[in-house]
Amino acid sequence: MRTSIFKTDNVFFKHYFKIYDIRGFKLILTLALLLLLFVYSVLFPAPSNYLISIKAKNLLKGVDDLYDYTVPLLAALMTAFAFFNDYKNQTYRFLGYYHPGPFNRPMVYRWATIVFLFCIGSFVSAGFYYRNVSFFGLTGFFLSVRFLPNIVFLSALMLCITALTKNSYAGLFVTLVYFVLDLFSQGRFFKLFSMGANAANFYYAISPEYYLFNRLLLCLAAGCFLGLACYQRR
Amino acid sequence: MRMGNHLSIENVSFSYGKNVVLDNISFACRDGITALLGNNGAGKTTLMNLLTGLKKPSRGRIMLNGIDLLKTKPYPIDQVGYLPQTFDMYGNVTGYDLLSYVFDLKKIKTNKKETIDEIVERFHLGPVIHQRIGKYSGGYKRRLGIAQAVIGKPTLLIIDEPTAGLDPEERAQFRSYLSEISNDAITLISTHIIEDVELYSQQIVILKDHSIAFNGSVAEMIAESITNIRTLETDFAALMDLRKKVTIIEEKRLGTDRYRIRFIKDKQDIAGSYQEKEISLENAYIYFQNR
Amino acid sequence: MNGFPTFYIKAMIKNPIFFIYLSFVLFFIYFIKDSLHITIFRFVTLFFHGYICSNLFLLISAAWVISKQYETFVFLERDVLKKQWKLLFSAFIISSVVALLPMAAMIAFKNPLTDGSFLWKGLVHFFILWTLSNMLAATIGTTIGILLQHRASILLSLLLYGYFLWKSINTTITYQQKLLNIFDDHMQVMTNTMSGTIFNLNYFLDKLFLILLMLFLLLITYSVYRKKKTAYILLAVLVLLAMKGVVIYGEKHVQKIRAYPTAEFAHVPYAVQTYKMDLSLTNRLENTAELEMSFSAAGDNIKLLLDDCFTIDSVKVNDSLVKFIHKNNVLNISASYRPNETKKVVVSYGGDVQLEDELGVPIYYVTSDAVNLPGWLFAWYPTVPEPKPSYYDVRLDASTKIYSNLGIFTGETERKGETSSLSLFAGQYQTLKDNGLTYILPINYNLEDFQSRLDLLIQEKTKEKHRTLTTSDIQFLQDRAYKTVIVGSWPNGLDDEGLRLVGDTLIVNDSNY
Repeated sequence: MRTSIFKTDNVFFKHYFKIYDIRGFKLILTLALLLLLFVYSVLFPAPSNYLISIKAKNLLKGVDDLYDYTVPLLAALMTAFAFFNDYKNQTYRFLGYYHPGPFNRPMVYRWATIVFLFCIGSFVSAGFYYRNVSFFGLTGFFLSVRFLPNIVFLSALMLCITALTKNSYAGLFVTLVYFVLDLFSQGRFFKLFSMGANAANFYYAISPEYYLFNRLLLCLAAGCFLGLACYQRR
Repeated sequence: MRMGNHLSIENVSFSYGKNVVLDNISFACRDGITALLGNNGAGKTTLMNLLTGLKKPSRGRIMLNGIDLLKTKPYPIDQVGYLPQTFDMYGNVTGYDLLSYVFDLKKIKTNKKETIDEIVERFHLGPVIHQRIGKYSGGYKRRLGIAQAVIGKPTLLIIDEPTAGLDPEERAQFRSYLSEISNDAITLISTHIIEDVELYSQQIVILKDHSIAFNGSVAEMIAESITNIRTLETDFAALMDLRKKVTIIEEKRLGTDRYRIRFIKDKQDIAGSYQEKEISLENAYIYFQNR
Repeated sequence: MNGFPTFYIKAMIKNPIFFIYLSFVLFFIYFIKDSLHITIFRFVTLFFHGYICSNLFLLISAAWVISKQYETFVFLERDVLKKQWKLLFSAFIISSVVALLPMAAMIAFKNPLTDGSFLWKGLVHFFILWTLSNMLAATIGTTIGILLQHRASILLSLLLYGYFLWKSINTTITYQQKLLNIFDDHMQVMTNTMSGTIFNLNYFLDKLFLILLMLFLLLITYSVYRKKKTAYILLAVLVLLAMKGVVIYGEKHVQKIRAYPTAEFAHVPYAVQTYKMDLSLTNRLENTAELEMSFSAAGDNIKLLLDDCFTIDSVKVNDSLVKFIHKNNVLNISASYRPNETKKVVVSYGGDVQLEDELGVPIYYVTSDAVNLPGWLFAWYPTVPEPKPSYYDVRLDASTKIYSNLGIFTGETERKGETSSLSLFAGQYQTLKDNGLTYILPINYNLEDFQSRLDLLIQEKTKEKHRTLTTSDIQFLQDRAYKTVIVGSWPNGLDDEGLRLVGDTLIVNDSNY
């Protein structure tokens, strides 16, 4: 992780567990959630006829909702939790002052820490979740990796709104509204910007191109959100 | 003849479990400023919390004009104004909204607009009163804090660290506000900044080791301590030696290898030392903290 | 009124979340405004995005405000429960003011054929749903905020609210599940567009349940922060019992459609020659039905179908009061008869007609402005199954325009004619004429679309086997020999045709569309 050549970045990493994540509480919480996810995935895997079902244009919400929605929501909530104190008083100003430059790199690193962990956790757990379909083969790889844009997108959205409004509750509000509407409209509301591409079976029910474009768009949107959140206006 | 207001704290004690914070505190005050001095952790804020009814003492009572303050239900917020050490507020609300709200909470009977306008003018909040509190500077926030405490002309004002976070000019202004408002009210301020109390306090109470180390006027405080403070001019080597022997309360460099120190007189006098005709309040305070 | 509510209203709205919330509400109004062309009730049902958004805003704001422990306010506002009430009141004000946006949209963009009474019903129904769900969210936010006094209260509040959201979104099967739905009961199951919302006992029990739930949450905080804890705990228990009582009472009094024991009528030796009815339809159905019956064999018991939702006041045979039993939708009259005899049977009865199917969808109903009584399926007057045509003389006093296969009833009207059954319909209808035919359609129907779909339906019927349509019926339909077409509503499973020919009136099932 220590790839930055800037001195302040090294200071950031050195003091990470003293300033940003006291005694690694957030890290432990994240790992605990991922462990729960893993255990659940091991105990309640997806059915073996999953691929056949989705090829027949069925929507297997009960199977896919976990990784399409629940895991990204947990990642977004962890992001909210990690950045909550920054905006409780005016701490973000203090932190931003000590990391000059156009982008608040520590903010990116902090966000990336959570998202990276969730992505790895989701990828591995999903591998076990879909093991009856394909266990870590190429199919298994794609079945696991397709959920990662959701994690990246939702947590970036949370961070972006929080940082732009300087208000953690605004971030929570917007993220939850998006989440609830997308979940209950089964992807019909947000269409190309929906997280439910897998649960709503965009690939087979609409088209593979639509599905891939949706995944790409979520990643791009996440990048934009991150840029907006971390850009320091001086 | 106007009697004035009277606050009496009688045998008040408070503990956090086995930790004694206040031990049998008793003192009385009248209209004017009473300063509560003490180092950090002496129990000043705890005493403030007891006076405001936010905590209950394990023993003792607090009488305001003959009424037991802590037994009065509901707590008479119309008679007691409070400014905490950290005056924080919803950042998106304006100062005027806050004053209006406090006016209603205290159930003040006067004309609301006139009362608020008068308070705004008195504390020079005009330029910012309709702005969001989140945009206020530290000085304006503190002024708004005192304004909400004073609105409705309470009998007792409790102000915790009145000038915390203010620049010297703001501190001077704040002290003059305090002096003004204390004419018709008992103003109890808790502070560890001596300049806050020097000019305007009628009474000083010093807390040390959970009990009262001194209770009296500024003049009495200085008179009691001056006989126990000695002054000496010496060189650096002797100074190093003296630091181990006596409690030094002030050091000043006079020139190359020349220092003037003030210290608390011990059983054994130091040769060459003398008693000054005048000492500062700070010297007196340090004496009471260290004797 | 002193400044209490305005302070917290300002604290809750003077932040970016409120403006995001307003933007969302406006967006959702725009997103589903087309549903207003169907009916405003469809808009109210589909506006659940707006409800959720509003609920989340009030929940988060309320929990945020109440969990902030500013020292000055801790000193000034010692009574936490008073603070909770202030916040709830503020939430109510904000909710009510923001409700004006969708309500204005409902008025501005409604289907022009919407009747005034339905418009008011729609607005009231929306306001009730909007306010109750918002107040529940605010109550959850403030209660958990007060109990925990920590920022984690927001997460817990969201979890608890999420439970109600989950219950509301999932299709409700049991009555208790229906009560936990904080939005429109017909979100998952579409109902017909003619009836609008029916403000019946079920409706009020449903809302009462939510109010009791809020009261329960408030009593929890009272029991924590007030001195008479035992009293408040007991009250909370009472409220819980009351909620259970609502469930039990509702389950018992919900009228469900039931199959009729038509097998019992297989060889009855009598038929009804004429019906004379003195019918009143307001919020109830009151009827005095005079049946002239002819008998082909002897017997001592006259059995007629009449739904259990009615209470019979009296039965007279040839002007003499007789004993009767009304059970399992069958009216058993103790009266002897001989072959070739005719008797006059007068049945006076009345009742609330609010029958639902298993999913809680209103099927047969009578309200002051909506009626759905398909006479061949629902025994709303004493009859026998699959009756032969009889002569009907019906005097009807209704508070709204009633469409039937005998003609239109307006106010106090009398209609006569021969028909096999009498069906009555009222609600959000429009009357259209085309090529000598009268179409009585729901207000959201387009005539051309309907005609082409009806043609398709009739064409399908020519290819199928039929239980009730004869060959001449099919020809009749193909020739468009009917004079009137009325769209009614009945469950598809009860009648496998989707349309019913009654004399020269064609009744089509709205469920097909």
